[in-house]
Amino acid sequence: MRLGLTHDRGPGPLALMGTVTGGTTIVIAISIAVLIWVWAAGGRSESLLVNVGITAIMVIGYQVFVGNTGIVSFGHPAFVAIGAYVGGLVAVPSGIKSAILPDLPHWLMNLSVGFYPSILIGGAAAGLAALVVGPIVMRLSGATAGIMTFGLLVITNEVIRNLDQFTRGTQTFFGVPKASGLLDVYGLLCALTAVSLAYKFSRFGLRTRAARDDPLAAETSGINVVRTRVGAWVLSASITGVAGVLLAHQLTAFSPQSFFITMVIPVMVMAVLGGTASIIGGVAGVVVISAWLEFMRGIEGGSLFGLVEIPSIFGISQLTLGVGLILVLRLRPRGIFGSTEFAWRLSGSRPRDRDPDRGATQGQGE
Amino acid sequence: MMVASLQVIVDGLSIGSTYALLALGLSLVFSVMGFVNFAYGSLIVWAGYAIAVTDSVGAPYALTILVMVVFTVVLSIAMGRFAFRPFITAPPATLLLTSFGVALALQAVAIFVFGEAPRHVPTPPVLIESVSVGGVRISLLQILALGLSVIVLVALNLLIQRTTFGIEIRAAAEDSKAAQLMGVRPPKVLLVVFAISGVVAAVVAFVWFARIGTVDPRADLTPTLKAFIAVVLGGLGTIRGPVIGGLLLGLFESVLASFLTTNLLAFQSAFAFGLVILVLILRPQGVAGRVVELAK
Amino acid sequence: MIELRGAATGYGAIPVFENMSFAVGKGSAMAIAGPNGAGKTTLLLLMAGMLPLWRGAMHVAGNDVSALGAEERIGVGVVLCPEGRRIFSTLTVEENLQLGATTIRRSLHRSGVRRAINDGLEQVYSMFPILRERRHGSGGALSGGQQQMLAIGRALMSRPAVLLLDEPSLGLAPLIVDEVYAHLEELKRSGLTIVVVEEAASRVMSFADTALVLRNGRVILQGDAKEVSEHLDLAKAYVGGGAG
Repeated sequence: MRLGLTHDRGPGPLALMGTVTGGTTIVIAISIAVLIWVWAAGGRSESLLVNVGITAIMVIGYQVFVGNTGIVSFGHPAFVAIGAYVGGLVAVPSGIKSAILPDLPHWLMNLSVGFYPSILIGGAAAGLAALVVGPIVMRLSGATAGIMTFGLLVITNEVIRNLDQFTRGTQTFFGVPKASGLLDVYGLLCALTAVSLAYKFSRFGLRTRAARDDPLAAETSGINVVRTRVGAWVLSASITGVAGVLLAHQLTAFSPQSFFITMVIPVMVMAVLGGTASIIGGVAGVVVISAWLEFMRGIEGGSLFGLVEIPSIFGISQLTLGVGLILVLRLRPRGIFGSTEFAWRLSGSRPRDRDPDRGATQGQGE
Repeated sequence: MMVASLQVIVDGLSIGSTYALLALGLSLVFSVMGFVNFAYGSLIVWAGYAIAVTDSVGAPYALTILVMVVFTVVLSIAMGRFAFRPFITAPPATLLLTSFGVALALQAVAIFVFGEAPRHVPTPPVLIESVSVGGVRISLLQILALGLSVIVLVALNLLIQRTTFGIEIRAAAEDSKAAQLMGVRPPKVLLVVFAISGVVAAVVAFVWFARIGTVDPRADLTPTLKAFIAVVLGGLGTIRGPVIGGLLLGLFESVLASFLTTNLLAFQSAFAFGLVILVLILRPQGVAGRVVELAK
Repeated sequence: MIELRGAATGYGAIPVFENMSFAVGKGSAMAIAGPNGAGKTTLLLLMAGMLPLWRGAMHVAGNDVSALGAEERIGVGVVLCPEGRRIFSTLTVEENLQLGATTIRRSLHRSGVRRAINDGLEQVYSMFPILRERRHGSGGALSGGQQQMLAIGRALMSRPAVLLLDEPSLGLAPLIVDEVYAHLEELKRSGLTIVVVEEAASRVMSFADTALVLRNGRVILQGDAKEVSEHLDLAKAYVGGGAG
């Protein structure tokens, strides 16, 4: 057995297993390294690395939609927000809830669930929201769909800002127990990596990528293009929602402006740098950009890790991200990894050369 | 009642005509390059700073506007030349991401140079004073906004429908490769289109800042948003589409403002996007758009 | 009139042909035949300046034009009617024709331009009267045969010396194909040099003076059109396939 790069899964269930476990193995290895590092450093930079892990989940969620459908989304912070608010709301202890949200309906007031149930509920809420709007937005052409994802973000943001009864409006929402441990976050990261890999190489993922590369040919082969996009959209939203709940349990206090267009910037740059068509590429992008933002933080001085404390990525970091995005697109438009993933392979069988995902950045728009 | 609804229409048309121009500037680049330029709002912001800075050195208003127009057109051309022309053969998704990168970079530079605090953009009081015409309040600025929009629209229509350069633009928009075979230079067409969209942005910026009075680095979001909504509402790829979309959006906002209570008004953008979604359910290509391929 | 010497080109890093040489004299016509994927269209795109010359050289009327791009190639008189005609459907018939005169507009002075374009239009309209009738209609509303006439007319607007045609008979009824070739015959007599790519060799061989048969980027037959044609027929008869 050895680990190598591949473009496709190869035939048979064994090959699928090899492809799914291949990328996951890498992410597990990275996670173990992170845990050992934090343990060896006596807990130093734990908070930072939790944030990085949550960001990685966001990037994987983002990749599931953008990578497989070729549609650029600006709206994913909406799912982070839904995950954070819904997951947060059900996790706040009843005692605090009656103080900060006195107008809640009775059943919600008394509801207070644990960490993992809240993650399930938050992720499901984001997925449900995606399922409601998906069929409308996903039948639009690429460029219009991209704009409309942005519209969804605006709508979500305004709704949260004005739904005082449940969200405290523009005021800070607080009282979520601090529960996103390093082990939880990285465990979920590994699991969700496996889920996205399994999706990418399943027949659903294959249909979605086929529809991305040639919608007309896909339609004539009996693939429902809109349905494939909605599938990727809902899965992507659920993963992103999970990241939102984790973020809620990490920040414990947040407000609507924490989840606006700014939030998508590092996520997008990470995904593009690694290669939007590749899951492992997204992880590589997280590593590189996180290190870069951390370095820039040293230069700019002061603030928390870029993603969480929004003002900190303005200024020079934002300039480097913007210019960096353009440079990556210019010099290596398919990112570091293109569409390749790692796969376990029996010694002897060779990876194939052809690259079925060449259209990954070409499927979209008009 | 009669007067009140007339007032709503006048207000709606005047703001809608500005949205129409915004959407048109966005749509022009789209029809030739096939991508939605996220950095279009940044042009407006920088135009605002051009007025503010020129004014701060004591220049008369007319001169500040002149400087702003020149600066905006040059910035737009520079954007096209340095950020987008190198990507002329790239797929639309790449261009969309590039434009997002450009918007980020321009915003970062604005923060760096001017800081986060809003700056005052001067407007001669005569422009914003309202006069009452048969009970309907109307300002010189509103009339100017409408008039300028009509002039820009007519001029653009003439340019695109009646000149040989318009033929080249339309040909490049339909089939860039075939146009090249006829001797059209797509890179040149691109620069001219960016120049035109810069002129449109300058006209918008004039009306926009005369109404708002301040500019800050994050002020690009609103114009970008309005243009996006108008463009999707009306449909991409024609001149008619974004104009109708812009006017509709203006009227819609004006009607909302007159009927909704203040706390519901906070949902204004959500309502506008809700309208868009409603329209898109009925007509995926927009009110006046051409039917576009599912994805190209 | 037009000559290729040891030309090589391809897409990205993948070569399509490595060493292509031929010459076509003024007022004569060359047919390029061969199966799908042989490199015929690539060859025309190379001559039209849409693809870079990797090696070798191209001469037009004795001048080296190897380094020129698409637009300058039109300037030296080489123009391509692309595969599938590529008529602009958002433009009227007359606007399509005017677009063909884009390079003329740049090369002449103001006063000369209008006359040159009007002369050009007049020439095209007298050759294809149907285009005059439909001049204000959309180019997309024409029939296949009319679109092919428009594509040829559009190419003529640039006053070419060499006309390159990619599959002019594609999708046209036999009667219309004959009409197209009658017009090409007329153009050839007037001194135009013509290079025609066709997958179906039979019709073009009776029109052309010389011929080239390609397969997988290589020239497998080259010479007098009549002889090449006989060769192809023989190959067809005995091998049951041939390159045509």
